[in-house]
Amino acid sequence: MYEKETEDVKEVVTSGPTVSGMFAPDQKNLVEPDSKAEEDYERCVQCGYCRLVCRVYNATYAERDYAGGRNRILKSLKKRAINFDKDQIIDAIYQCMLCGNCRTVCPVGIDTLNVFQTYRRTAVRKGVMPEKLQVLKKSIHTNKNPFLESGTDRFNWCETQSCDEGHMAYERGAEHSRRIASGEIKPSDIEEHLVGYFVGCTSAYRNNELSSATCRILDKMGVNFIVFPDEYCCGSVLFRTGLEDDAVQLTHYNVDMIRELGVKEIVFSCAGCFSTFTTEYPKFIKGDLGFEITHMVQFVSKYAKENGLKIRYTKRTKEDPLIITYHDPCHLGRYCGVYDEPRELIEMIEGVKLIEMKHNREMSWCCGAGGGVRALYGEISNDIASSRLDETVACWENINENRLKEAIETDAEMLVSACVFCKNNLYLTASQTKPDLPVIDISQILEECEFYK
Amino acid sequence: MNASKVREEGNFTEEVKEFIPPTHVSTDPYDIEATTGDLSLLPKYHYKFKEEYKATHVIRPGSTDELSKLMKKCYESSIPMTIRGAGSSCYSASTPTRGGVVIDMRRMDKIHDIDPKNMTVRCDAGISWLRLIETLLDYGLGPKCYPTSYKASIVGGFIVTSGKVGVGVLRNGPMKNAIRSLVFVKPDGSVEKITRDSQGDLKLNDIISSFGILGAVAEVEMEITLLNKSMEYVGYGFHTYEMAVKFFRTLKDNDASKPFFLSLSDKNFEKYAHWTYPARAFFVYAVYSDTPSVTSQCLAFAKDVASNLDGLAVEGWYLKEKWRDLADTEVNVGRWCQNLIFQEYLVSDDKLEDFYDFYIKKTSRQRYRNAFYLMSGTKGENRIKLFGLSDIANSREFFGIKAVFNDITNFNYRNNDSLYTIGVVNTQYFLKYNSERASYLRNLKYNLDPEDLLNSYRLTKAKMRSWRLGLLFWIAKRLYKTA
Repeated sequence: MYEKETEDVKEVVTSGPTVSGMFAPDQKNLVEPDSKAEEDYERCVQCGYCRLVCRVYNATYAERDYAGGRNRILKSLKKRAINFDKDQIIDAIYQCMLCGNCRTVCPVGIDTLNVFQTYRRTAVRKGVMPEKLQVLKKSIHTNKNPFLESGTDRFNWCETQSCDEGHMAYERGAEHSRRIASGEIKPSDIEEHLVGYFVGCTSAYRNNELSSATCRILDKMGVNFIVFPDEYCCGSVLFRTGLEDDAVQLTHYNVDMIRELGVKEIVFSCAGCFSTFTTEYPKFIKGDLGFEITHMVQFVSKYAKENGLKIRYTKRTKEDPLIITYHDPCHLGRYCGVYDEPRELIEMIEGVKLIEMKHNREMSWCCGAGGGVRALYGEISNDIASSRLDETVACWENINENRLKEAIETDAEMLVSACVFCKNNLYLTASQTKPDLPVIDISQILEECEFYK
Repeated sequence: MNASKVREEGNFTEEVKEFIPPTHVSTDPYDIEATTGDLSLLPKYHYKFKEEYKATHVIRPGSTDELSKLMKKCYESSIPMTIRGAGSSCYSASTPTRGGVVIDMRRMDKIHDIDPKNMTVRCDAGISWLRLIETLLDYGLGPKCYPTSYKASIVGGFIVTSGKVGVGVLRNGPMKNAIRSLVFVKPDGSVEKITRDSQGDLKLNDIISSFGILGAVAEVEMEITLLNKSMEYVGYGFHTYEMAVKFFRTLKDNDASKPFFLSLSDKNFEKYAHWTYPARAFFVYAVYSDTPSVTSQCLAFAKDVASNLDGLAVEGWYLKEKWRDLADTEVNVGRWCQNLIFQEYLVSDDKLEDFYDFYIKKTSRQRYRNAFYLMSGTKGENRIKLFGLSDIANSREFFGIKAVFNDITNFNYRNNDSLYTIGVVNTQYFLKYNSERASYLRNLKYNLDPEDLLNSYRLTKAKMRSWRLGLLFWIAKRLYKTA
């Protein structure tokens, strides 16, 4: 009896919703999210679906920490059923990565990201200000980066990383700026498709391996690019933590600076900068930005296709590929809808094979770093990263199991992302809990690739 | 004893933190506010029916041991306790009536054992149905039955709120048939394993439908089933309720194979719940899960019956989408209004026409938007969910709709049927019409919890007087009609 039943089990197709529903990827919201409805929490029907996908709730189990519970608080605040206490309310506001998974599953289509970002902005205007944010705000105001580093050191990484490609891009950028400033050339006169690499603060000051890798990749591909010697922080962290009023100035500065240089396309290696330019800047800049915005995962595959380039990972072969799993960064995926391009890019790389984790694309689990959670609630951030790593390992265990069956030897496996914050958070947690698990950015794989016709 | 009792017990918080991790012993006012609500989105004035609707603590035990120690501590300190599941039931049942401590069960969310040989699973009662279903799915297994609210609700909640109607119930029996044993924590914190054959003071049947007044379900051992290889959908539209009910009953009574899920809805419900909806006034929907030969026989049978009743087949893609969206449909109605009001009734098979006639009589002249949704339960029983779409700011309309529900509730009880879920206010009906069961439960409750500390004012004792409720609805009906 048991053997027969076990056989039956094997024949069951479990990929489809044999039991009803789940969170089916093709499920449509009855109402599309309205990004202008800042008080949309009024429409929350308290279904609790957001609780199921909320990584913070999964770590804290606190009712105030997922979207439905927070909506309840917002309603009560509006009706003055509870008091707004600027000291006590901090956790209820900031214990959220703004990852946007709640928006994905909301059956009534509440743009929770917009609602909670607005909630933070309002709170800050009412005097809410965690101490760490105060420091961050001051640093950006003074140094144009959140790390208390000197603005003049922004491109020191070219030297510390011995990155000639970065150094040359800097020199080209400086020369280009000089010629524009002196009136030697006008932005409107530039006909070539000049590409600018917006490095971002984290890659510039903390994760130099990304900035140098990006420059090397662009150089190897033969891209005509510069970096921006006068680049300022994009303001992402300010927007996400409610300090929008302080971010607006940066928005105008960066756009004006880029426009003045006549750059046609901006490439980002940082998903946070990319999503800020994509989703926040248009709110404050009248008309078209005047330049194209692309993340590296989009740019590399597009450029390679347009120029007939093939990509080969030099450390492995087609027959013995490096098996990786891709972690969708919230800022790239749920914020900007970039899901296919990174997968297409990985598919293009000979010698690399992609295996998906259970929660991917729209339903990808957040790494735990976003929305200020890493800075303000390190322990929760670690818990969340740890659960994502568990899923990564589980995914590999399944693969290994299958590969063993096929008698194929397994070795290097990696978790790959396309966001410096995801990489950092997952890497830091992995180094404490899963030291054998390499966590890298996709640019570090591309850096080891050759591009050929 | 009320909330102030907790404040008097100065050491309570610290003492609890000795056996429950401090981060899960919350006195954060915003956490408490978020926990003071449920799916029903009740306006705050509804909470006036309670003595004290806000807790002083939200405490989240992570194991049976922690739960037991917590309840013992509350019991010894005479502190009211409210067991909170997912808050997916209705009418503030998962929020306090006398303040005190909310015991949030959802940290108890572990699966302890899946036994495919004996086809059982043992898990914590606080696990969400979705997580349990997803985990079992990896093994090609599934629960025998589960609620339509499975995306949000937890296992323990379905058990104590009867588990008589839901997905799989018609085919595999109600929740109580699937339960092998429960680990149950009584109000004084003592722990007892209760099986189908338990002969002690508490029996399995006492806990089912007890709405948490006798204690907290901590762990569940239940039977599971193999997933079938074939799933087919049946859907027909009808011009009249009579024809639709005949079709519904015929599918329900077909002993060759019972549907895994069976429902009948009016056009309003379909319209409010989906992107698009079938053309005819009533829609009967069935899902079969069996071997391919049996499901194809069921399709042929349904087609045959429907053609004799002038049923119009609904397109397959709609039927598939409806299954995919099953959990969302009842929730989706809420997007059309600020304050969705609903009432759930348990109606026997032979009273379905009577119930509907009375419902139409009561609502035909009302101005509020409504919807009708009937789901099959076990043989002979069904759950009917009536919806009233209301504006939260319009208290006259809110109470007007509640008054209509009140009339229908009284009618249904007089017809020897009942309510499906019992909240704080609904307890009044239970006491009035189920005096025998109420008396039995009261004795049990008194022995276990003489101070009525646990989930107070439910089933055995009402906060509001019957005449006050009657008067309120009498006034509401007149005000609403003449508005």
